[in-house]
Amino acid sequence: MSSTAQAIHHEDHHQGWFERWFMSTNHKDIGTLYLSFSFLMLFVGGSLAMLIRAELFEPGMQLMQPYFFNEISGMHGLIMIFGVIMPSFVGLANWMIPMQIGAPDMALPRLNNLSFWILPFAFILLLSTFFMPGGAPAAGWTMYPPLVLQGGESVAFMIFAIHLMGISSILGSINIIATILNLRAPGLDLLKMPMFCWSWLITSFLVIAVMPVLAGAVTMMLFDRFFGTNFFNAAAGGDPVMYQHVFWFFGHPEVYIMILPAFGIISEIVPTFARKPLFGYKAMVYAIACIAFLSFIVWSHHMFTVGIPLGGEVFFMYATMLIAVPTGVKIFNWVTTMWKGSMSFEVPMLWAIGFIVLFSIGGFSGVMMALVPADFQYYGTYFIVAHFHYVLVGGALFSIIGAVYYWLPKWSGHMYSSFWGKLHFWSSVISVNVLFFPQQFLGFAGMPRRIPDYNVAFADWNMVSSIGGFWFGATQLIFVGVVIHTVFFSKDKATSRVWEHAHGLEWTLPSPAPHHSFTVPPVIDDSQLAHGDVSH
Amino acid sequence: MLRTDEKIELNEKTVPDELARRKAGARRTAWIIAAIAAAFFIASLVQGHLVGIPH
Ligand code: HEM
Ligand SMILES: [Cu+2]
Repeated sequence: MSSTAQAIHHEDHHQGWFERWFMSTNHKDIGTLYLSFSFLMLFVGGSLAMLIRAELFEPGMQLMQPYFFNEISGMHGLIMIFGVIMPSFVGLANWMIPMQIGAPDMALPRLNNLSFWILPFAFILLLSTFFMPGGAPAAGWTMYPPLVLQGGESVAFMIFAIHLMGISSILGSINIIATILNLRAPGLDLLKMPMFCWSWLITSFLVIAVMPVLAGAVTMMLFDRFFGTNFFNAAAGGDPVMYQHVFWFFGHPEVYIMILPAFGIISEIVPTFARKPLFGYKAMVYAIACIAFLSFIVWSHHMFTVGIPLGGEVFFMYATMLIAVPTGVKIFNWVTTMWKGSMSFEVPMLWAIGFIVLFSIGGFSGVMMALVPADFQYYGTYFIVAHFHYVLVGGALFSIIGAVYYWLPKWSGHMYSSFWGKLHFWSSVISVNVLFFPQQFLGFAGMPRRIPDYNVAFADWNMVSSIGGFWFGATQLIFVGVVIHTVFFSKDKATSRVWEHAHGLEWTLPSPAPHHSFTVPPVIDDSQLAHGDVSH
Repeated sequence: MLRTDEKIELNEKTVPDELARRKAGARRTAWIIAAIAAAFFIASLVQGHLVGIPH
């Protein structure tokens, strides 16, 4: 099979550079585009984060006008969520799903091209707002009216950018669902699919259900601002709190859109380096489905202090705490997979273990915030900031970096230096805690989020946090070096299996993987599957 | 039960038709999902209309 695959590989290289990258319909090239785009945006969003931490290094106003601080903190959030975490997961889906289910490509390749190429335009629109009179929208990534409507005209650009990002991710998800449901190799039943495919199948349905709701929310905002409607205008009888309900009906599933694919990745990496099949495969699938369902009925935990009826507070409190149960199942199963395994600690495994620990810390603070009376203290403070950075940086971002270290040899055909990979990991895992752990103390003590100045009482921990921030930011330059070196300069050839105990169809292809994955559907041999209820 | 080499042969023979059939299926799936997405968009506007606009 590998010889046919290689023949096709050569055929495709007659494409010119422009054709290959701009008109691509190939899942691997489009995956590479997504990953490169999000890598770039990681440094754009990261630079804003460095500015935020620089301003907060000391109390008082040092570097910028307060309004500019508001602009960069909101834009940092929007860029990291829509420009980094979501597209990099889509990039990984593009690369891996056809290879993991034995398909030649994604089901709808031209749609795939469209979904990617919408994104750069969306971000040009979004980033251009910095240069407009009145500046970028400055009301945080949650864009609450009436505050966000008090900015300049740039709000229209932000809204169109959000529409475009929404269309892009909806089209991407449609493609993923269509691919998984229609292009699996004969014999690869749904319940034999790798966990990464499962996590993305379920995530896609979340995207389909909630991105249109975000689009609806910002469309109403657009009409309020420019066409005289009063959806959210209290002065004219509208309801600003309704915006929060609509936004968080999107927003909470959105946070799971940013973590479920991570769960899939960790479930791929841990069994490989524990040299055991994933513990409780089916339970893992059901747990993801259960989390996805529950994510639709917890949104008001973001609004406990806004004044909802007591019955509502109690309902949303218990529903939120319920999510900890399937989440706990997942953590238990990863740990049990490692239990008595013959573990080794290659670079991807380090990131996976880092994920499990850091994500758990973030999950625990989530349960604390789910308690209504406690949340009255935490709401709007740095405690929230610490929570979502533990789950999004320690969780989502760590899983993405781990996935790159896991699959990069397969993509590029080269091994990277494990010394630099390990240095990258240890420096990141220490600095990320220096950065975010103190923010929990600051939050307890009452330091508000999204404010450029603070009481001197908060000075010490802010300085520690900023030092952690610069350290974490600088550490990511190692990652740039490792990726560039592996792709363009490494002479160290990767084998097709890459990792000793790696199971699954992607490892039966040569490294680098051929241009079209499986032109002839592979014959499924249960013992070669990573998961499923198969015993190795 | 076919032997592995027979299965591979069968796969090779049926590839073009089979892939075309599956791609048609994929297009059908895509339209259905797109309709669901559109429905969620409309529903959010209707909800905004009923709750938010003074009436
Ligand atoms: C056990 C699971 C979790 C629970 C119980 C939980 C609970 C909560 C609660 C109650 C809040 C609102 C706090 C407040 O504003 O007062 C919150 C905020 C947040 N959570 Fe979680 N969470 C969990 C997991 C996650 C995950 C997995 C992510 C993302 C990957 C996430 C991302 C966020 C974000 C971004 C916010 C802040 C939104 C904002 O106000 O800007 N959470 N969480
Ligand atoms: Cu939430």
